[in-house]
Amino acid sequence: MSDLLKRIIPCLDVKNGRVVKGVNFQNLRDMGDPVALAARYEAEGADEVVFLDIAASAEARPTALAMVRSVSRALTIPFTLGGGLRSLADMHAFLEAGADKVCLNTTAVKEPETITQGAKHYGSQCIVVAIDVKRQPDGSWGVYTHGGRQSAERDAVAWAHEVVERGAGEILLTSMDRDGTGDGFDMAITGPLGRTLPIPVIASGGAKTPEHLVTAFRHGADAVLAATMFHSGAYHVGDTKRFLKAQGIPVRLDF
Amino acid sequence: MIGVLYPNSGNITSIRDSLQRLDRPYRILSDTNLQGIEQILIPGQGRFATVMDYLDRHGWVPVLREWCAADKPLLGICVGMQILLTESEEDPGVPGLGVFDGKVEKLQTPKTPMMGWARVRWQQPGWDDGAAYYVNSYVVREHPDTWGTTDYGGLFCGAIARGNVRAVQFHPEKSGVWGKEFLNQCLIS
Repeated sequence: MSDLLKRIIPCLDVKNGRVVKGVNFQNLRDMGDPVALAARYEAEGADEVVFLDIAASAEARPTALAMVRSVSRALTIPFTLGGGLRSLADMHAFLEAGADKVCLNTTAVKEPETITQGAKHYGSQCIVVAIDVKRQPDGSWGVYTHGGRQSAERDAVAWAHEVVERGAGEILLTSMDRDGTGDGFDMAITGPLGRTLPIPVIASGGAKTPEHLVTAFRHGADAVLAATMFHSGAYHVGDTKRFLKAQGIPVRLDF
Repeated sequence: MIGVLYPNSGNITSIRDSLQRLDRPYRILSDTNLQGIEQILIPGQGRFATVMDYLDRHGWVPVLREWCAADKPLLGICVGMQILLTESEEDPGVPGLGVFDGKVEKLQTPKTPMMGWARVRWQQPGWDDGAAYYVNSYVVREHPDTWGTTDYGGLFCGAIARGNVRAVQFHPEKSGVWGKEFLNQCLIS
């Protein structure tokens, strides 16, 4: 028997300290203040929030850190910061500013030692590795970087195991085939990894309805990441959780 | 005034933001001068041995033992709870403060760390039901001073208390509105 509940995690894309929405990072629209939006999600029952800085750069760093400080003062639930983290110093800066977890993607692939060092210095629980995957012609899943545009020439399952070995505390698994489609998560890869890896797996890419979330949780995801589903206003986090509970999925309802 | 012990493990930004939200005056304790301190808060993520090493090198071990023996208010969080025990499987051979007699054990579950929300089953009246945010790989299984339990790979002490010396395995500063109210109840005014 386990009391551990499944988690719903809204994801906010940010640029220059503002939440943005766009397709393939083009035609970005200012969607508002990240602190206000995250606080609203917290009030609506979100278990955590992920902020993805889609335009991280050295110049934009002070703005990003200021945003993290503001979020840390406002939120009483955990939050993760990802996007453009290249080094231990980068991770340190954002953790010190108040992020509970930092998320590595491209850097993890290009310099896997960063995972090891991050886990060693800050603890595995602070290190999330995002793995973006696409189905391959031979039936396997390949790892991609740069927003799904560049093949890392690596098998997703093998990479996931290496990421675990190096000390990551959590994996954010995004299907780039499903991302933005609203067709539901790719459970053919998310399920097996969620069920077999010894660390939590967050399903990501394709969520559009509460039924998609039920499927993900029933088949091995520990948490789900959703963006458009909630940002569009189509679904309310709290109502979604009540639906999940009614479907037998253990979720936190006291918020 | 609350004294926050910062054992150089993990960061204390979250707990500081939390204290500010709750309007609690506090001071980060840079040495064992406890003038004006009415409650000690030991936050932290991190490793048992790292924290104990810091406490040892800075003269905190006898000070904390004496503080707890006098039943003065103290709240330990996460590793701040674990160091109150006698020893931990995380670092065999490294003694804890021994304020609570017992051993911290590694979680033997398919997934570690335990990361996420779970209910605390209180064993004392006056504490509200709710879900707390946990992120830990080690737990105290059973203890006569159990204050609350949670089940993950079996029941473990989500919280432990004896008089004014209290400690929680979860992170109340990350446990939403419930956590904020819980802290409000635990912290001196």
